[in-house]
Amino acid sequence: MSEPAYQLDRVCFRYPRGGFALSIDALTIERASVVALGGPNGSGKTTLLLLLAFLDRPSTGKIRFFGSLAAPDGDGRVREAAVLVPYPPYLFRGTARHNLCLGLEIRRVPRSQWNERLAPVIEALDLGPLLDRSGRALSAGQAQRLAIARALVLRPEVLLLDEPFASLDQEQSERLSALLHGLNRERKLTIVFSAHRGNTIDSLPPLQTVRLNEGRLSSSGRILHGPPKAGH
Amino acid sequence: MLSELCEIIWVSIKVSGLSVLIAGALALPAAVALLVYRFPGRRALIVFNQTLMAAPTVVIGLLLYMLLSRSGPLGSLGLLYTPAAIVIGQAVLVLPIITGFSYSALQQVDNRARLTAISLGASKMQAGWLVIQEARLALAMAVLAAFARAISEIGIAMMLGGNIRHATRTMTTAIALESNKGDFVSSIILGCVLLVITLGINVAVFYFTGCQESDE
Repeated sequence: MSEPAYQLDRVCFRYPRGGFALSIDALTIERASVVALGGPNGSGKTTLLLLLAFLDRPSTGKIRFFGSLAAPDGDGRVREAAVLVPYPPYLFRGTARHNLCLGLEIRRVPRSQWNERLAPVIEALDLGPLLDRSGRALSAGQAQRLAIARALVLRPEVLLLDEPFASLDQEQSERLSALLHGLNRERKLTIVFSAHRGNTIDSLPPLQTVRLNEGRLSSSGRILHGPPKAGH
Repeated sequence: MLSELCEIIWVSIKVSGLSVLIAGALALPAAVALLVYRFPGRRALIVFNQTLMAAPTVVIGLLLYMLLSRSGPLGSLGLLYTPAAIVIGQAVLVLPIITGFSYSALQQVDNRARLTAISLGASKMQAGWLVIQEARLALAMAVLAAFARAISEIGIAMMLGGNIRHATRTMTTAIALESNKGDFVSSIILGCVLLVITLGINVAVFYFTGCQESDE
């Protein structure tokens, strides 16, 4: 049996200057699952995503990543496998194309592979007309799509998305939802995303929901659902 | 007369440019280290650096004079009253300035830049470089401000350079000398040149800023 993507064991996170942020006794996120993190503002969703991306280290407790304990700051395996798209997304100086290719450049992906990775994502998220524009000149929704595309071209095993649908209109939400759903089914991509609005959770049918309240797990369960709605 | 003026201007630009180059090479990694690493005494170091940013040039000149004079610990190097001594002194003067402004510039960069870079697979070093690139405008301004400070100071140039004709005479020491002699014409010309250089630096900053803003 394959190992889960994440196993959290008595994980607690406190801010360096004090202040409780998150405490989770146990949480398992299955491989190839779609997990929705719900909860009100300040409930710890973003903190949990940062911990899952190994961009913050838990104050106490352990996080197993695909069965093994990763270094607190992450290691090569984690960096290769998990990518976080924060909200609001950060775009570096330069064009949208530069931003889109930045991860490929950093990871030294051979240029011969770039087109095959970029083309489907550009088409799926309708980024073609934006590529030569300055990244900083994009609207919030365009920046969101670009940042998600930048993560997807790296072909991670785990995609961590903070409020991925927050700035997207209905049409773009559906496009993104369909793309992510396809990647989850075909490539077994594990997706963990946060959303505090009910309708955005509906845009990507989750297999598992994790609800946080004041930094604690208030519920966690599986949802059985049929195939995605038409257009997804 | 004109050739001597040109020589003085050249000495000023050369020593100040070199001192900023040396200080910049040390200050930028120091600023990155202050930002990235958490170590005991880090805050005290930041406060100390901020204090040094306001250090009077004559105090720096005096301390280095004691080090470099014949009876001082570094007297055997024979650096006193050479352009190299001014370079060292001005580098010491602007090192905390570039460090402080660079630290502040890097601190202004959104933390998501570093997190995003690391999440995309960047090493700490690569993430640091990306953050530096995000702050490049403010960093360039830190360097230009340091150059303006170095080229317009007089205490170090006078105490460590000695205002020696055809060797260590800079614009500021020449202005002081010519004023003492009552030759206000030469003083005013040199003063105007100094102002033009400072103006040039400001124009460069504005042009650079404009380019960056239109890029965004």
